[in-house]
Amino acid sequence: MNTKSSSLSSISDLFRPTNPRGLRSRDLSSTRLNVLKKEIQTDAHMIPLSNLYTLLGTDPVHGLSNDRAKELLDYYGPNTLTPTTQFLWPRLLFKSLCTGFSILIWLGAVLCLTAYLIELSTKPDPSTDNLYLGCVLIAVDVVCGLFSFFQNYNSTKIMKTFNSMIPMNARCTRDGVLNTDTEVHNLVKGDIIFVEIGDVIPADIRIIESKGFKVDNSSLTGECIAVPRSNTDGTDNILESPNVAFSSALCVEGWAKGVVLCCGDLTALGRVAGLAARLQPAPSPLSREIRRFMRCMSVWALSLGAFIAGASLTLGYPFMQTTVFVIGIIVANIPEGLQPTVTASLTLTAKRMVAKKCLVKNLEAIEALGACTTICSDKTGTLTENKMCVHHIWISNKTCSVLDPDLGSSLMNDEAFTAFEICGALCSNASVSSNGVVRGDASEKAILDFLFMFDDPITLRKRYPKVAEIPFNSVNKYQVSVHLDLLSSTYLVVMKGAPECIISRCSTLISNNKIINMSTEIKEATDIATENLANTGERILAFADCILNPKEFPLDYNFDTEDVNFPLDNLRFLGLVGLKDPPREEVRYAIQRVREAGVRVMMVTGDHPATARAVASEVGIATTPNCHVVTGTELRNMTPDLLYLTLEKHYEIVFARTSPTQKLQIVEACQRQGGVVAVTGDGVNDAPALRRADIGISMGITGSQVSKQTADIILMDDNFATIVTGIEEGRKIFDNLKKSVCYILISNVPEIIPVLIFILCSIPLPLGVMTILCVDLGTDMWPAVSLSYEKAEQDVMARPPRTSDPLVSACMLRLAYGHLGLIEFAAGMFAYFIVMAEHGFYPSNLFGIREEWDNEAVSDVEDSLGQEWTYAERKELERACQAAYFVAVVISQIMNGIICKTRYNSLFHVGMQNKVLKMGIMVELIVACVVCYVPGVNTFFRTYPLRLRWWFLALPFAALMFIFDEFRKYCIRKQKFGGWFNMLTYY
Amino acid sequence: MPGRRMEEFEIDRKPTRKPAKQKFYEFLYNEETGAIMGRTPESWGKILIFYAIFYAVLVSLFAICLATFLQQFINPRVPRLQQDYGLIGTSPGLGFRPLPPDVRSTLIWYKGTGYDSYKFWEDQLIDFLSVYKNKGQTAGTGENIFDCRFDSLPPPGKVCDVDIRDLDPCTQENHFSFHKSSPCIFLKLNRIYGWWPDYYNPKELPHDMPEELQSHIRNITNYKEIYANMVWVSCQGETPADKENIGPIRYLPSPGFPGYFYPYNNAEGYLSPLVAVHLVRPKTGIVINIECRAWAKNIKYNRRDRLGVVHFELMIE
Repeated sequence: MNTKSSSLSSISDLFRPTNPRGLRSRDLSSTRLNVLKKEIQTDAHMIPLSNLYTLLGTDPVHGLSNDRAKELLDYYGPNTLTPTTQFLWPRLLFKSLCTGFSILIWLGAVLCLTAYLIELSTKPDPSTDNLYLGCVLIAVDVVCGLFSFFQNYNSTKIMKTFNSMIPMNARCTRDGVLNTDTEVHNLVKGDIIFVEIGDVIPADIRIIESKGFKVDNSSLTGECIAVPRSNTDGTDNILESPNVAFSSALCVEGWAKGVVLCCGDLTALGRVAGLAARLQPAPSPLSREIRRFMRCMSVWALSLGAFIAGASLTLGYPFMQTTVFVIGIIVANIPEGLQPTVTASLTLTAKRMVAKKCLVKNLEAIEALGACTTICSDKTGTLTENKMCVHHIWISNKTCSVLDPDLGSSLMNDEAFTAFEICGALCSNASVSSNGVVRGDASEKAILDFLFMFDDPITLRKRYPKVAEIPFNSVNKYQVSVHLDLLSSTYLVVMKGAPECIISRCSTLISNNKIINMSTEIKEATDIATENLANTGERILAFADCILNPKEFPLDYNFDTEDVNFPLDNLRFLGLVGLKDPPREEVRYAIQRVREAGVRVMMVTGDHPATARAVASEVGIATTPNCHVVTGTELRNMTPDLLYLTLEKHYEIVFARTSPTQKLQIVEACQRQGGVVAVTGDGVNDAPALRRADIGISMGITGSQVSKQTADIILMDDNFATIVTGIEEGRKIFDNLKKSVCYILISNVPEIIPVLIFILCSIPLPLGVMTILCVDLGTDMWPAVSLSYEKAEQDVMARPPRTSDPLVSACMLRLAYGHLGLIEFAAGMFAYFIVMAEHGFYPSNLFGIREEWDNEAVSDVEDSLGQEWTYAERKELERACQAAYFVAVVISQIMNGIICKTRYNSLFHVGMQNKVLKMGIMVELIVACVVCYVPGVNTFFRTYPLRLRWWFLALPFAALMFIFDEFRKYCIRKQKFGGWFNMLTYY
Repeated sequence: MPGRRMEEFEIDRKPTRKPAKQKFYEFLYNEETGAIMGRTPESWGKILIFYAIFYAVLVSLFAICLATFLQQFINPRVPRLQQDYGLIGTSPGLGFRPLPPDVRSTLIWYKGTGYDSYKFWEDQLIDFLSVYKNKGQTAGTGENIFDCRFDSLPPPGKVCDVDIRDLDPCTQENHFSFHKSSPCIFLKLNRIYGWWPDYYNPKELPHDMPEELQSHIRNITNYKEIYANMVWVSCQGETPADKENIGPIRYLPSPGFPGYFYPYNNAEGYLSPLVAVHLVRPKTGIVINIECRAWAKNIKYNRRDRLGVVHFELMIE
C-alpha cells in the first residue's frame, strides 16, 4: 500500500508546475509520457474513507481550510491540463529546411557562392554564373522547405479541446462553507465538492454521499450509458469502480458529494489528454521509405562528389573547376522533384477522397491506409450506430425477431402483444415531442420507436394517464408506474426491469390469449429465452402488469410510492424485449472486403465482452465461435510479451472493457509486430490510440471533437465502407507513386552521365546545372504528378498489404539507371553531337577539347573545318547544344511518361485515357518551349532558341524506348525467358 | 486471466545472427549456393549476356543514327551552318600568340634578360609558326600556293602564301626580339568559312580609329587605291597610363590583313595571314594592358564583350 501511495506522490511530483526534479524539458516530457502510458496505480478508492481523509488532510463536512487549499494549489499547480512543450516554429522551419536532399542542395549553394566569392576577390570582373546558380539553389531549397514546413505545421490544438471539456465553476466546501462558484482550476486534492444533475464533474472524485447519482462516462469508455455511482466498496480497477466519478463525466441523474482524489493532468481525462498530446505518431510507411531512399541517394551523391573532387584535385584541376564538377554531380544526382511530386500526388488523392466523404488531414495517412495490415476498430459509434434498437421480443413463449416482415400480422390479434404495447408505452420516462422526436433514455427511446411501428404510444398514454411512479434505481432494478384506464375506470400497474427481478415477482403469464400460471417449466423457458438473447449481446428488459381490482382500488385511491400501498408481486408477466445497438448496415460488407484484402480487423471496445463478441460475429470480425476475447482486466495482467504472443496466436481478437491506455498498448503491440495499424474511433477515449496509430480514423458526425483533432482521416459520413475505398486508393496511389518515382529517376541518368563524360572525355559540358534544375523542377513535375491519376492495373484489393515491397526497389533502379535512362542519355548525346556537327565541330574533334574550350583567354579554338571560334561564340554554341540535349531529354521523357503509365499491362491495352497526363505532356512541351524561346528566360536558364529540326533528333531513341519497354512488359506478362525480366526489372 | 502463461505459446527461436564479417565473406562467396557477390556464376553469365545484347543494340542505334546523319547531311569540308546561319556569326575575333601557360590568363610575363625566362614564349611562337615555315610538309601545300596580290585574287582551290621571313626583327633567329625587351606578339584574324571583309573606304574612316593608322591608310591608298582592301589592325594601351607605357609600336609586314586572303573556303593548305606587333620600347617592371583591334565595316566592336578585339597584358621585368 505504501509503495502505491508513494508512487502516486512521485507521479504528482512530476506534474508539478515548477519542475521539481530539475529535469531538462525534453526529458521531463518523455518521463511524463512514460508515466502516462502506464495504467493508473492507486488504492485511493479501496481504502476506507476515514483513511483517505487523513491521507488527504481533509474533512468530509468542513472540507479543506482555505490556507491549506492555497498551499496545495501553489505546490501542485492548478486543476488544468498542462500543454506539452511545443517546439517553436523557427525550430520546425529549420528542421524542414534541412531534411532530405536539402542539405546537399545547401552544400551546392555554398560551393557556388564560395566559388563566386573567390572569383570576386581575385578577378576584376567575375562571371555571375556561380552567383546566379547559388541563388537559384537557395531558392529551390527555401521553396521546398517552406512547402514541407506548412505541411508539418498543423499545430496541435488537442489540449485546448480537452480543456474545454472541463467546466468553469464547481461547488466546493472549504472551511465548512459551500462556495457555489469556485473556479475549477483552483480545485485541489482533498477538496469536498458537490455535483448534481447537469453538472460536469470537475476532477476525479470519490463519492461520499449520493442519491440516484448517475454519470455518463462516455469520454473515458466511449459508451453513452449512464452508470450509477455511489458510496460503495471499490473494485480493483479504478476505472470501473462504482464509487469513483471521473473528471469530464456528465452527471445525468441525482446528486453526489465527493472528495477530490486527483486534479489536472493526473485525472483519468488528464492522462488521456496528456497521452494524446504527447504521443508522437509513428512515421508513416511512405515517409520511412522516402527517408531511406533519400539517405541512400545522398550518400551516393556525396560519395560520388567526394570521389570526383578528390580525383580532379589530384589530376591537378584548379579548385574552381573542381567546384563546378562537384556542384554538377550533386545537382544531377538529387531527384529534386521527388518530394514535391509525392506531396502533390497525395494532395490530389486526398482531394479525390474528400469527394468520397473522407477528409484526409494528414496526407501520408492515405498511403499508409493502403499499406495497413491491421485495423483496430472501436465498436460503439463506429461499427454500430450508437443507438439502441429493439431486436427481439419474447412473447407467448416464443422469440420473434423484429426484422421478420411477418411480425406485425402474427402479433395483430394477440392479446399478449396488446398488453405488451400498453406496458411499453406507459412504463417509460421518454417523451415524444410534437414533431415525433423521441427524447429520453436510450433503451426507452428504442422501445417507443419500436412501438411506433404498430400503434401510437401517444394515444395510449392519453388513454392511460399516469397516476403514480417509482423511478428506476440500481437497487430495485425495475421501474413501476400506475395508470388509470379511462375506458374501464380501473387502475393499471405496469412494471419494467431486469428479467430476474420481474420474473420473480410474477405469478401468471399471458400466452396465446390465455392467462396461465407461472409453472417451473415456464420459468425455465423464460430463463432460456433470456440467456439466448443475452448471448447475442442484447440488453434485456422484462415487462409485467397487473390490473387492479376497482373494488380494492377505487378511483380516488391515493397511491403512495414511498411507502408502497399497491401490489408489486403476483403480477402478470407479459414478455421480454431484447435491445441492441445494431451494427451499421454497410459494416459487414466493408469488413468482408477489408479482410479479403488481407487486412486483419480487431475490435477494441470499452463495452462488455458478451456484447462485443456478439457484435464481432455479427459484423464479421469473428467468423468462428472460438474468437478470442480479451478483457481489460486480463490485459492488465499481461506482460507486453504475452500480449504480443496473443496477437500472434489468434487472428481474430476482440478486446473488451479496455481503458484508453490499453487501447494504446494494443496499438503499440501491433506496431511492434511490424504491422501498420489503423485505428477507428469516435470517442475521447480513443484519442491516444488514434494519435499513436499509423492511421487514425475518426467519425465526422458522431465523433467527438478531440478524436477528430487527433485523427489523420475523418469519415465525414461515418461510413465504415469509406475505409475500403481508402485502402483501395492508398494501394493505388502507392502503385502510381512507384511509376512517378521511376519516371523521375529515369531522367536522373541523362543528368549525371554528361557531368561524368565532361570530366572523363573532356568534351564541352552537354547539360548545364541550370538545365538540370529545369528538367527536375520544371518539365518533369506535371507528368510525374499526373501519373497518380492512372487507374489501378490489377485488382489492388485482391492482394495482401505490402510488407516488403519498397517504393524504390533494386528492380526499379536497374530499370531506370541501367536501361531506360541510358537510352535517354543516348538521345541527348545524339542531339548534342548533331548540333555540334552542324556548326562545324565533328564528334571526333570534341574529345579532349574542354580545356581550350572553357579557357576564356583562348579566343581562337579551331573546329573540324578550320574555323576559329572566340570564347563568346563557343559558349553560345555550348548553350545551343545544351538546349538540344535538354529538348532531347524532354522528348524522351514524354515517351517515358507514356511508358510509365503501366508497370505490367501493355500500353495498347491501357490506352491513353489519362487526360491529366495528356495535359501534363502538353505542359511539358510548353515549358520546354518557354525555357528555350522566351528571351530573358533562355538567357537565365542558359538555353537557346533551337531550330525546329533539332526537336526531332530524339525520336528514334524514344521509339527504341517504347519498343524495348513493350517487349519487356510482354515478357513480364508471359514470364518469358524463365521470368528473367520479372526478376530483373519488374518494380 | 491469471491462468494464461507464457508457456502456452510456442516461441519461435530467432535464427542466430551472423557476425558482419561472416556475412561479408558469405556475400563474396556463398558455399551453399555457390554464389559469388550474391549471384551464381550461371546467373552472372546470363546477366552479362543480357546487358551485352542490350547495350549492343543501344550503341548500334546510336552509331547508325550518327553515321547516317554525318553521311547524309554533313560535308566534311564545308560547314552546314555558315556565318549568320550558325552561331559563329560574321564578326571574326582576333587571336594572339604566344599564349600564356595558365588557364584563363592573358599575361605575357618574362624577365628581360634571362634566356630561360623567355624560352617558353619563344618555343610557343616557334611551334605556332612551324606550319608557316614548313609548307612543303603539309598535304597538298606547295602545289596550290598562288602568288596573291591585291589585283590578282587566288582562283578556287588555290591559297595565298604567308611569308614569315620578311618580318624582321620578329623572326626565330632573332628570338622574336624577346631578348631585347621589345617582344613581338603575333596577331591573327579568326577564320570564318566564306566570310568577306567589308573594307573601309579610306575617305570615310571611322573617327575612333587611331590617328597613326588613319594617316597610314591615307598614305598607302594615295599610293595605290586597291591597298585599301585590308582588314586593318591597331594596338594600343587600354588606359592613358598604358598608352604611355607601351611605347612605339611597329606592325609587320603591315598594320592589317590583306583582303586577298578572304574568303576562307577551307582550301587545302590555307594559312591565316599574320601581323607581328613589335613593341619597340615598352616600359619594363610594370604590367601593360594592351588591346588590339581589327578594323572592317563588318567587324563589330565591343570592349566589354571582347568583340572584334583581343586583350593581353605584358610585363617585362
